[in-house]
Amino acid sequence: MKLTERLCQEDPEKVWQEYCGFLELDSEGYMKLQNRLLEEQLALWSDCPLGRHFLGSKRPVDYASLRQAVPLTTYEDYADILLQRRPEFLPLPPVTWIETTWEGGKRPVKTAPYTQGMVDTFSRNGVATMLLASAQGWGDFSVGDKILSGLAPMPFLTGLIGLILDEEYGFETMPPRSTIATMSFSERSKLGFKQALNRGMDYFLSMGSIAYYLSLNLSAVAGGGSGKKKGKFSLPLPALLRLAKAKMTAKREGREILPKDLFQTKGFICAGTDNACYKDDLEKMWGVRPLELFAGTEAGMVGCETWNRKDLYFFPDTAFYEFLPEQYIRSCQKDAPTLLMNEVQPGSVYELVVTSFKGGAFARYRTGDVYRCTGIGNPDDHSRLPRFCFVDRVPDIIDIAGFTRITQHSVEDVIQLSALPIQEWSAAKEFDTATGHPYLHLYVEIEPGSLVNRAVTVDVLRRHMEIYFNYLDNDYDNLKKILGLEPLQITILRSGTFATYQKRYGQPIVRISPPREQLAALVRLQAEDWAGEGEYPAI
Amino acid sequence: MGSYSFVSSCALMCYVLLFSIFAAAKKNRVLSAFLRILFVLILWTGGSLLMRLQAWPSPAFWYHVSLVGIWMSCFTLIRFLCAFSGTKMSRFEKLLEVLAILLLVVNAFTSFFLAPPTPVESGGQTVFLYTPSAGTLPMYALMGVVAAVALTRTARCYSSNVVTHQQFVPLLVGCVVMFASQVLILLPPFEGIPLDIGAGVFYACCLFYALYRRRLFTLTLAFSRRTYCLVTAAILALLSTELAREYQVVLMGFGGWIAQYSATIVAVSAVILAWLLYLLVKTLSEKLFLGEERDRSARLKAFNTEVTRSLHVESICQQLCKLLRGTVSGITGISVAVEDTAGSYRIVASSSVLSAGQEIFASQNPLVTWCKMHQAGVRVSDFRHSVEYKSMWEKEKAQLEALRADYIFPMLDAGELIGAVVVTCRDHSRGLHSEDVDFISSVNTVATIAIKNSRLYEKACHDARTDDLTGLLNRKYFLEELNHLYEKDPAGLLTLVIISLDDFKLYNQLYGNHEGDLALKRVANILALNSGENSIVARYSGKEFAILLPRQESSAACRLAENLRRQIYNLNRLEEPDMEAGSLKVITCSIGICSIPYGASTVKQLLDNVDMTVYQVKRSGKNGVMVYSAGPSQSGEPLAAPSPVDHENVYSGYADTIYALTATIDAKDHYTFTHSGNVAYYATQLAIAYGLNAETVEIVREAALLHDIGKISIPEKILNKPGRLTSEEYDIIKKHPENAVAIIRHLPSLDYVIPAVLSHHERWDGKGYPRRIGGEDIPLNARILCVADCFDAMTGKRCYQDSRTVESALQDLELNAGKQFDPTLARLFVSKIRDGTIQVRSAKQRGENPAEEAGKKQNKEE
Repeated sequence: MKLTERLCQEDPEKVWQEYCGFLELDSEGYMKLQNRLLEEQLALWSDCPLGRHFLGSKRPVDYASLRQAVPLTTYEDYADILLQRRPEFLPLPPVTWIETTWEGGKRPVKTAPYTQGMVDTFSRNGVATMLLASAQGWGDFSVGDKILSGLAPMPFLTGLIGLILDEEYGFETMPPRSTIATMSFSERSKLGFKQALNRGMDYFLSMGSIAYYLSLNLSAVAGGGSGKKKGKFSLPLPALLRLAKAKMTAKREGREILPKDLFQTKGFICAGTDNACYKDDLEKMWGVRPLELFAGTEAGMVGCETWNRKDLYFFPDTAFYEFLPEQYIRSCQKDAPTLLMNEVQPGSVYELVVTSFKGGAFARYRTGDVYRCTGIGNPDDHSRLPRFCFVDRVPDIIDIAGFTRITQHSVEDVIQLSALPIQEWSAAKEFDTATGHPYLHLYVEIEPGSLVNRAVTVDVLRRHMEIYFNYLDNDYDNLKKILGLEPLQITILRSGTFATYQKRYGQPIVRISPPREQLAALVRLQAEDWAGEGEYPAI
Repeated sequence: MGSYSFVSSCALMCYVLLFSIFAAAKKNRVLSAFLRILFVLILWTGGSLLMRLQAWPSPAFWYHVSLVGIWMSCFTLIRFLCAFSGTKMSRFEKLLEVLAILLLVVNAFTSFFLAPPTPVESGGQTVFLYTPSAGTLPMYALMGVVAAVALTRTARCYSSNVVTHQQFVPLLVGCVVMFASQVLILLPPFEGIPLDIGAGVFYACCLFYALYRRRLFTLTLAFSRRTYCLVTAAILALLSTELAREYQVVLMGFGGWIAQYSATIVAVSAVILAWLLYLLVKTLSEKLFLGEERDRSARLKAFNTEVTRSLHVESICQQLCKLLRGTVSGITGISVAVEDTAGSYRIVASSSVLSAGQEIFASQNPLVTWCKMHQAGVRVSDFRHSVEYKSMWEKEKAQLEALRADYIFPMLDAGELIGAVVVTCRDHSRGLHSEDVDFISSVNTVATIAIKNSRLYEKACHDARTDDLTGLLNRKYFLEELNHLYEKDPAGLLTLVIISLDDFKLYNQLYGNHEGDLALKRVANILALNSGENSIVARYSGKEFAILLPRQESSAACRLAENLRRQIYNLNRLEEPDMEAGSLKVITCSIGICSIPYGASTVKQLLDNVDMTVYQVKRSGKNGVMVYSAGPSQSGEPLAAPSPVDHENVYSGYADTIYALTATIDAKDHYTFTHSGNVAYYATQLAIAYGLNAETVEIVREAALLHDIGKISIPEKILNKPGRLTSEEYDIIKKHPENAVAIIRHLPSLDYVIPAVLSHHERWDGKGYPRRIGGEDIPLNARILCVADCFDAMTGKRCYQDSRTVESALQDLELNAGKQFDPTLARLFVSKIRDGTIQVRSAKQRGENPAEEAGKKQNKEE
């Protein structure tokens, strides 16, 4: 039954309670729910080959015994079993397998099984996000049934959102799922917007970066550049009327057409990383501030913001949550202490660790997503639970706009394949001061001997390296093609800078995502005269 | 009366009736708004009717009343919509309302906008002619605006809220029809047709339906004595108006007395008609609408009577099921589940035979918490909307889905869920009517009390026939069952198995009553789980269990008994796999079997023969199974009852062995020479002083003689070591009570001394060894032995200490009374020594060698 139809027959307060009522839980109730579902999961997990692989003869029945029996895990621990996609190894047979990129080039794909129970929970929490996205306050929501989706299709997790909203709740997704299988991203986007222009839309679902690109693109199309006239006349009448009305509004206000002139959007939901740098612009363009949704292939849909667009709350039935304190995030310590939802401290930063529910595969799995606890409880949200905000991925992964996952391995591979004379390097994610958009900043030191017989300018380095980044990771290419970003910037440092740094500070600089102060110290060394500090190779 | 008046009268009656019904109801904002609508409709229709009838005081007055009704109907509609949708009137609407009131007031005094119509006789009928004036057009324009505003609000309410727009459908339809009729009557083809009046009735009915759909009132509200009277009066008034005059004319036509009393006849007829009408209206209403209610009441009464008589849960549940199936029409399935002993809620009675006994949920299911929280009937769809539902396990969700339940009515007793009524509706989406929910809740409450009482009764019955400790049947009930089975089929096959635990008294003494009770429970559990469904298992006496096996012959019983014996033998070994086979903690049993008709022909014979068989197993070494056979070769002859154990004789049988053993000890430990004899003397004297009987005194004596027999396995260098022992050496010394037991076990008839020997180093404060038991958990004989042993040790010379004076030893006993020693025994012993009842044994009597002592002293001096 369509959600809108259901709302006609049922008390909307009950519907709200069903999907968003968890916000009223207190920490005790939240943990009770978590512990109960963990009990179910442990019974299933302990009884399957995957669980026995970790547990041996142990049989954990609750969180305390799970903690004793299973150390913190990463995807490497599961790869041998999950990449084979053998259901007989799992706690319950999966109904689908979700994929994501793992590590460009070296280990291209990660897969995660989703059982029926997980999909059901995912869909319920998806609807909760839709309601919260359209809400103005507690229980004050309105629902439509037309969704413009800028999300990638199955087998990516974003595709599952479209699938369940379409199949289980009768939302009309644009473009329709049946037509997009063979389409490119550009074709999908064009078709989706064309349909939205014709029929109108209630929700817009996208990754923040893609939404930004699509919004800009839409403005260009609607603004009527050269060669677009034919396209416009091919639009159906309702779309033309909508366009005309939008043009009038834009003209009256003396600006380009914006999405908000075309659509009365009830809710705007964005997923992925780096949304913070797009949100303000998107709000200006759409007239609605995007609501962030937090999900991961391994963890499922873990949480979303409420109508205030500030605080993230974790869904209690997706997974059992543990929080790894900041000081252990960079370490590979398998027995590092973790905190539970009722133990987190406001202001502290944690990496999320999850144990799947409903027959999922993962136990005490480090997601690599870092959150800050912003406070506990908020009377405006009717909540007594800890509130969070997303900080970033863990430092050893550089995620640009939710598209790429650059690791130390991938940069080393690029340098090796490109045969560039790079002696030392360090990479960090930085944000453009003008646009606020993210990029990868590579600080490199060239081999002293190569400068005599090779041209190694910044441009040469960038072009060479981009070829191999594209070669190893298709998603890197999409950053340019889809988002129009310049994802790589290179700074060439004086020869000997890295060695001087190590000599002065007693340790080498971290390769990936070094702390800000380390990077600042490295850059500061450029301006200093440290020739006398040691022996450096002559150029 | 013309058709117009007739329709108006009907409409008016209809409004008045609705008004009277809702006036009696409990008011809320929506109902009050609806009453206001009815009121203005009454003004409108009533004013119009009375104006046409030119009633008192004047047609002009009724015209203005009617005009008020017409004008205010739009505003009452707006107010009703506001109440219905939970919104407020806009400023513009309020302004319009004020303007309208002003207009009406001005028009009432000046007739500026529309003057009252002029009655004109035309073709025998009175026609009312309106004369437009300069103010008429603005008035109609304003009226148009008001109508448009009211219609717009209706449409906005319908379309703006997708969530509730279905609730506004009747309102929208009513309003459209109402306003359309107002337009239509202005058109020539509809001239003279009272469309507006009819539309008014339709409009009121639409509002009534909207209220009903929103469950703002129940239909039963409409059925009261006052309503019947009003309906009767309305029908009578209409009939009288239409027919009374014609009826009198007809009567006048008859002439004579009929014509003379025609008025009286009409009046009497009216009274009779009124009475008949009242009865008719009442009967029809009650038959149509209240019959079901009455039928329910009757059934509920019968149910109450039945369940209060019943003392069986199953019977109550079945009656509940039957009542609800027969009474509530919207139900397709019903099950009644009651909590079982394991905490699961299982179906006891159901409309579906297949679901009997099925578990609907377990006690830890979140639905149970939900039911406890809500107490009244719970709609399962509401539970699915709850946060609690999120914590359900997938198998619990599947269980709930399989149940196909729409409602769950919890049976709560002092906040605890003792059962639940599970209801499946014909129409899953609409569910049950609120009256049905209330009815089921009422019935459920009655059933809950009845079930609670019957459970108490069943528990009392259960308690009366079961053994508290093991949960098995007790002896009394077992014998009843045995007799019952025998009487039912005296020639039938009936096998009795008696299981008697070996040396269980000793087990209790060694490990305490708590351990003994645990062992009994475990044995009972083994028997209950392994004896099969048709068997009857009971605790026959303290350490004896009985199994009754109807229709099973001895060979099957023998296989079962052997299996049970093996399991009981391994009972404690499972917990302690390293336990030696001869360990005292191993529980063995002697099992006897006898069957009717092979080994007995009466119940008494059966019991006697099984007892004898068990006795034979005991005599032949215990831990065995034997089937009774009447043949002499099988020792089936009735045996004489065993004579009481003569401990002195038993001891004398082993005297030589014991002497040899104690001599070995004495040879190893020179300092304790004749120590056993001394302890035997002191202990015997103390036991006599304590008032124990001769048999127990004899046991004490024998235990004292044997108490250190375990030292035989301790190396001589440790026994005779001068100075303090190391902790390892002391650990070896501490094993001697257990070693003693291991030796005594080989003297089968002396096992009665084991508790005293094993525990003579236990302390009253629980800090002794080997089992660290304390207080009265230490066998009495051991406590006596402890006092005697310590006194002799203190007053005698040891390798690790010189002998102490008697007084010093006595003081020590007094000091440690209540710590090391039983305070009563210690004080008794001290007093008996002091008053000379117990003689202190001399050094010689104690076996100390003065010559050797002198030699040692000399060596030391050298």
